[in-house]
Amino acid sequence: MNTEKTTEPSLPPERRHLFRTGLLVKLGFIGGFVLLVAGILIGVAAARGGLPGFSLFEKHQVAESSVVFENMRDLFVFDTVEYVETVVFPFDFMPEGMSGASILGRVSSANPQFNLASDVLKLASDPKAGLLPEERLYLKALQIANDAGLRFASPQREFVPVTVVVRAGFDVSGTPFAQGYEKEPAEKHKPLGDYFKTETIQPGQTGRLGGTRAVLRLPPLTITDIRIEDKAATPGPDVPLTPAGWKIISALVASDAKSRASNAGIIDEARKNAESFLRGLLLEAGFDEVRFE
Amino acid sequence: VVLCSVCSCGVQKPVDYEALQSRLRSVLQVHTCEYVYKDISYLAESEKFLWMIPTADRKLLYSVKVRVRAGLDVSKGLHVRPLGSNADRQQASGQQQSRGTKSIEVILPPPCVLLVDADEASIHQYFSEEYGGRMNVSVWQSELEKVKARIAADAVKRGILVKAEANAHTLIKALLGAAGFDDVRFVQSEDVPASSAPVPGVKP
Repeated sequence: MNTEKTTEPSLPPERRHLFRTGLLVKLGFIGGFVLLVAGILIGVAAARGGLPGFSLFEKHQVAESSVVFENMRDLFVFDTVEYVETVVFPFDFMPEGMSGASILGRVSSANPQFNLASDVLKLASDPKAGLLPEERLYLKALQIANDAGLRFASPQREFVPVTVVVRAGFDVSGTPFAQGYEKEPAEKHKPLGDYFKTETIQPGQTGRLGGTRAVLRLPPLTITDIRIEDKAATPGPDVPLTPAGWKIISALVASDAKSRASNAGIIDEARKNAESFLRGLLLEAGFDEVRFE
Repeated sequence: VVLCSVCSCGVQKPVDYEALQSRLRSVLQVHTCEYVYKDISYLAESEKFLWMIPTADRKLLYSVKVRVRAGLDVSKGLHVRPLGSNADRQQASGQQQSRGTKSIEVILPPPCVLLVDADEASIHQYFSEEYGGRMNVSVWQSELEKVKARIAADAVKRGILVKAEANAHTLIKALLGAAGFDDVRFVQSEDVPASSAPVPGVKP
């Protein structure tokens, strides 16, 4: 009577040993593979913030900086207004219904001398190319986004919100106000008279009983500063972008903001605020009337 | 339309002046001193999968100039109080009248750091090693914010506030001197102590 178990094939003992070993190896591989897949999934989940404190990815960061004091300077700048704008680069420079291909196609047929592969920035700033201001900006933004390595096209859709601050007021650095005031000798404070005079108001003049009038000539009101906020404005994605890329994006945003701040009437507003502040101060100082020339 | 597109004589988009004007904000700041620093930063990031397989290795070296400006935030209050001429005062106290010197008291806010700003135009990138992708903007920008805080503290230590206050006095003296006040006395307003004045761009 054959009493041999039928669960294993009837093999010679040495083959049976090999069969069992092979089975164990296969099971080991399957188990290892399952563990590896699980590990990858856990690692990816942890990398995406799913499992705090655990990751199969080891991260190491080094940050070192050396700061050197370079120079100092005296300033005599009075800022009275600021223009603040946050732009989404590059999409704010790419109006709907406009496409780079159509602009370049149109311009290349009219200007065959341009090498569109390398001259996009040149083309964008050449008045002979016959582009509208928005089209120029579009091309500049397109080129700069590419140079900065920003993958703004679908599906990545990378963008950077940038906040720009334009300030206006007056700078008296080159005027006698920066030299201070000394009563004696009179030559020392004479130049101040070009900017500030006092007059006696005759009784009856402008309906007043009399008094003193301050007459001021303000130095030219100008844009005193344009700066980009150093941190990308929030909310915004954390995009791969180096300082060199940030530099060229900032330059475009800053140059474009200057014209928009001017259109917003920043200089007029700066004058209004400066006059209002000085008028208040001089009335408080005892003048009866303040006039700006 | 075809003619216009060929001739590039399209109509420019009208400027929305009202929307632009809404972005204007009044400020009253007198900037009287500026310190400039140069920051050279090195950042490195590496990632390994299962602690042994390198998946990313990024290195970045760049420099940027950071300017610190100090002065007076006049919106916190600047007031003047004429004290009359010493001739009036002497007359009132029965003294013999001498040549009149008009005096005025100026109540000023304390000087403060008004701006700490990295100048983007001065950025110089020495290299950027990008194995596994470029470094994210938040990585180097958050390091820059830390550097800016250090720089602001150093500028205060080097006396930027003292210098800014002295220059502000020069400017105000010139203005009031031209207005006929020969004797200008400065008093610091008590409302905002200098130590608590916020440093823009630097988190407390």
